[in-house]
Amino acid sequence: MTAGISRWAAWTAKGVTIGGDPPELADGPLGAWAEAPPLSKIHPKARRPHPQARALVQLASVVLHDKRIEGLALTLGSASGSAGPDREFNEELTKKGLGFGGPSLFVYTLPSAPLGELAVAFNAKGAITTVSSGAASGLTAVATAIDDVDSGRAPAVLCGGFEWGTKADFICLFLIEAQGPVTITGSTGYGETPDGPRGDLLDLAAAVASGQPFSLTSADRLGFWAQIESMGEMQ
Amino acid sequence: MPVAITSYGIVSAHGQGLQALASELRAGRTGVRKLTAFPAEGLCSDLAAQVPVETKGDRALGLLKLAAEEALGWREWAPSPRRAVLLGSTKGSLPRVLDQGEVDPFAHLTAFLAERVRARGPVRAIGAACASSSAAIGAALQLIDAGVVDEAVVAGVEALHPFVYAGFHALKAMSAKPAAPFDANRMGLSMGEGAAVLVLESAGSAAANRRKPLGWIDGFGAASDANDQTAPHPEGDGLLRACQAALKSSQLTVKDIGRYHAHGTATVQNDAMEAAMCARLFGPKGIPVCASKGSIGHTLGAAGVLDLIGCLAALDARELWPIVGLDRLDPKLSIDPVTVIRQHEAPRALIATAGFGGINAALLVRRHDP
Repeated sequence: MTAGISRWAAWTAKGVTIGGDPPELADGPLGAWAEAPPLSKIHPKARRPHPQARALVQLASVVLHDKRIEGLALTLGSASGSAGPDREFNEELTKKGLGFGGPSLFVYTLPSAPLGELAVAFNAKGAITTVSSGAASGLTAVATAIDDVDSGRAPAVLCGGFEWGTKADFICLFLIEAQGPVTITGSTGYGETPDGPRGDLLDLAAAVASGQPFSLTSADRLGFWAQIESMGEMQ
Repeated sequence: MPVAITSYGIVSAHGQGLQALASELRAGRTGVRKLTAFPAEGLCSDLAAQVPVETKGDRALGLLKLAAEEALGWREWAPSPRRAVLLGSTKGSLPRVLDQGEVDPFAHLTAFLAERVRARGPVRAIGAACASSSAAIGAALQLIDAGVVDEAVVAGVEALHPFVYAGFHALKAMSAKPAAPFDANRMGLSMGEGAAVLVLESAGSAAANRRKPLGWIDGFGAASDANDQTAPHPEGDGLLRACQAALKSSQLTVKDIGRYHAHGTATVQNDAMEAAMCARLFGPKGIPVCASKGSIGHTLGAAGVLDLIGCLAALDARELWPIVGLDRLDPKLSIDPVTVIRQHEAPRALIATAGFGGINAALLVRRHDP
């Protein structure tokens, strides 16, 4: 199998783009998205999901574009993971007392909880994992997804990543499928970072949008790195 | 696919090392006791399977270091790009996020292991709720199987924290009595803490380096229920597909499996789900069912790797060890639970883990028969 990116979308404080160049990364929470699909339409089984999970479901709905993929797997990278919901739940315990935390909020203090929400919303029955490797988390998730499709373990993976409750929040998602139009390869490691242009998930979206060959490497101060390369869009 | 386990280290409610764990599991004793790590007044339980070892500072890192030293301390580690590190945990070092203003509770734990074994290959933490460390083992198997690395150090760690304890209280998932998996009067789980570290190697790497396999992992599978955030699928749909995927990856069938090592949290829903799943997978003949959370508590993201080490010890002893806390089987559950030590020669076990978000993972483990 040859893995390729077939669709992508990104959401930052500056707004949302679906395919094409991503919006600029800017300080602050996710910006307003006037055309955001209503949750009742795309996720009828939702029961008051945390805003982080809600946003992921909304952006994923435009990436999946009404597709229902048998065995769809989910792999998202994040350094901040559940830090936002963690702080909210901790504040609740501090204010109300240890015995009075909200059960629905506690569920979202698992980094994998937003992926569980995605699975329920889109009937994704493949493997679900979050990946954490500092600043390299997002590209590491993409590299992992490429392996899963290349090896035939998953027919398709919704991958990418998110940061929430940070200085500059964002979500950037990619659908990787066998024979997707933008063929990519990935590798990860620890220690000395390979040479080449540096970038993150938003840079990956821009590179994919360009249709040109690219190589992008994310690196973290602790030593994690991930590299994604492409020969460009297949004709 | 078979990958050799060439070393391990563990710290659990029964103390440090495999011997401490194995003797208590075999004897059917519980490590669930009155919680002393923090006050639990007003909560639905004041019990936990607490590790009886003091650590300084970061509890998760302290537990991880104890398990790592046992698993890794005997070897010299030259830097290698063909060595990976995978860590499974749900909350990592939570105080770093709550008290120190950091956002990532995992990176320094993973980096500690990577530096300890001088890994230069893939290094990452894996999150899959209570199946996190099973998923980390699965990721290691896939990297070894694909020839990306020759060996992988896999760890699971979870530390008790009032935040998590209060969360399970809020969910009404904790029992006021020690957890009693599959019991008619089960009331929920007992929180636990612990850490375990495995060294996994390709068969070729283990043989070339003259390292004796302590056991084998023959297969792995993962699947999602896609049904509910907290409740498992009532018939165990996702867990069934995870188990079937593990069997398929190893080209084995249910006839090759000698025991089912359950996730067995002792919540009403989980245990009913697993009983239903067992009936679907193994059919009317059934299979002996074991579980260890009545003894070592529910260690959340670390559960998969702790269960694996305990299960392997029982396989090595050629015995089935009793489910601690099980007094009277829930009559609604059609399973064959192990309640006393039984002789059992079959070399393979299927180990299940399941978590919130409908996440499921299954491992096929085999003892090493020289």
